[in-house]
Amino acid sequence: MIGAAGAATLLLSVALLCVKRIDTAAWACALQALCAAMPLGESAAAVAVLAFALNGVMLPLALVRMNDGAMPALRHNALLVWAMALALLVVIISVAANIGAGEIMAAGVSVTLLGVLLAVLRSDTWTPALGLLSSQNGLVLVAGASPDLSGMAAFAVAVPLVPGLVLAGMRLRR
Amino acid sequence: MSGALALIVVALPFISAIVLAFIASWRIGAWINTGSTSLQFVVAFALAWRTGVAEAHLVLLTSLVAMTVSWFDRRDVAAALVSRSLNRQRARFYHVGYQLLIGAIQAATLADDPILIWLALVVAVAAAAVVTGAAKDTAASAAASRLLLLCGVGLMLALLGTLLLGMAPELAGWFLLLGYAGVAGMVPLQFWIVSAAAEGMPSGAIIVSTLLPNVPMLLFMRLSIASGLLIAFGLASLLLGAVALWARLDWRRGVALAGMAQLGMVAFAIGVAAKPVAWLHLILLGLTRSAVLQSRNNDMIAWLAFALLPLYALYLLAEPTVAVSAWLLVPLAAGVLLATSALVGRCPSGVAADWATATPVWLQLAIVTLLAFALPALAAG
Repeated sequence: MIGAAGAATLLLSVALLCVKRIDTAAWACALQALCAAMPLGESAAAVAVLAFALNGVMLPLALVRMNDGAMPALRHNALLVWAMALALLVVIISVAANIGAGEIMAAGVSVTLLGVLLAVLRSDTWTPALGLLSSQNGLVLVAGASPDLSGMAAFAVAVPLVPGLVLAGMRLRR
Repeated sequence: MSGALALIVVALPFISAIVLAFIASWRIGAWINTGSTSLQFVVAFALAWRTGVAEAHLVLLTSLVAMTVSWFDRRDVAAALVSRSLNRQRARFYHVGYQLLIGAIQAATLADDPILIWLALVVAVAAAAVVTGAAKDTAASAAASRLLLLCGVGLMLALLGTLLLGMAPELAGWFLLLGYAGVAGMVPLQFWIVSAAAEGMPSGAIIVSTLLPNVPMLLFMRLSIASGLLIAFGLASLLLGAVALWARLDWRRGVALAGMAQLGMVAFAIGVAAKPVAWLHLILLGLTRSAVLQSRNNDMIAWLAFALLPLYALYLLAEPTVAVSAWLLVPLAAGVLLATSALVGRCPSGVAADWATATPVWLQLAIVTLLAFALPALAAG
C-alpha cells in the first residue's frame, strides 16, 4: 500500500509535466498530496492530515481561484524537458540503489526534483507555484521515509511555506 | 549573559518590525529603523566581545552594515518619495522588511538546528523580496519575483538536503550545496542577485546582496560537504562571475557579479580546508562590498579595495591549494586575474566628498585594512 502510494505520487509528478490546464494540474496536485501523506500517516498521523489539508486542499484551491485560463505550452522543447526528466529519474534511481535507500525515499527525491524542474522550465505566471507545491509533496514523501522526524522538521514539511510565499508574491505582483 | 545578548540581537529587529508596522510617518519610521540598528550594533559588539566565537563576529558584521546603511537611507527614501517610486505605505513596508531581514539573518547565524536555520532563511527571503520590490516600478517587482522563485527553488533543495542528512548523507551534501548556493546567489541559481542588486532601492539592495549570502557560506563551513563539490561550485561561480564582468553592465550589476565571483572563492577556500582564509575573505568581502555600494560608485579607494581583494585572497589561498592539488591554482588564478582586471578597468576617479557618504565608507575601509593586515599576522604568530 505504502509502496503503491509512493509510485502514484511519482506518476502524478510525471503527469504534471504534460498537463495544459491549471485546474487539471491543481486536481493532480491534490491527489498527489493525498498519496504523499499516506506513508507519513503511519508514523505521524496528525502531521500527515495537516500536510494534506494545506498541500492538497488549501493551496490548490487558492491556485485555481487566482487563475483564469489554461497554462501555456512549455517554454523549451518538450523533447528536451522529457529527456531531462528521464535522465533525472535514472540518475536518482541508480544513486538511491547504490546507497541502499528505500523506494519511498527515492520516489520522494524524484518528485521534489521533478517539481523543481516544472517550476524552472515553464514561463507562465502560476506554474512555478504549482511546481514548488509538487516539490513540497515530494518532501512529505521523504519525511514519510524518515525513521526519526523531529517536530521542527515535521512543521517545515507539513506547512508549504515556500510555495505559499511564491504564490503570494505572484498574487501581489498581479 | 551571552544567551541573553544573543536573544536581544535576534529579538530587537523583530520587535522593531512590529512597531514599524504601526507607524504611519516615514520620517519617524526611518528614525526607529536607525535607532534599532544602532542599538543592535552595540549589543552585537558586546556579544562578540564576550563570546569571541565566529558566529558572533558575523552577527557583528551584519549589524555594522545594517547600522551604517540605515544612518543614511533616509536620503534614499526621501528621494524615492519625491520621484514617486515609493509612497508612504510602501516606505512603511520597506522599513518593516528591512528589520525582518536583519532579524532573520541574525537568527539564522546564531541558530544551531538545521531546520531552524532553514525556517529563518525562509523569513529572510520573504523580507528580501519585500525590500527589493518596495519600489513602485515593474523592474523592481520583476526582480522581487525572480528572487522569490530562485531562492524558493534553492530553499526547497536545501530542505530536501536537510531531511536527507540522517538517511543519505552523500546525497544530502549535493542538495544542501545546490540549494544554499542558490540562496547565496551562486551558480546555478545566480540570476536573482544581479537583478535584486540593480533594481531594488539602493540601501535595501546593499542589505540583500551583501548580508543574505553570508548565512549559506557559514553553513558550508559547519556542514560536512564533500570538498570536491565545494571546489567545483566555487570555481564555477568564480569563473562565470569573472567572465560576465567583462560585459557592458551598470556598476551595481558589476558589483553583484564580482561579489558572486568572490563568494565562489570563499566556497573554494572551504573546499581546500582553508577555513580561516574563507572566514577572513567573507568578512572583508562584506565590508568592501558594502563600502563600494554606499559610496554610490564615487570613491576610487573603496572600489580599488574591492577590486584588489581577490588578489589578496589568492595570495592567502596559494599554499592550501597547492597542498590539495597544484593544478587547481590555474583556474583559480585565471578567475582572479580576469575579475581583478575587469574591476580595475571600471574604477571611478575621485573620492566621496560629502561627509554623509564618506563616514560609513571610510569606517568600513579602516576596519578592512586593520583586519587584512592584523589577522594573518596574528594567525601566523
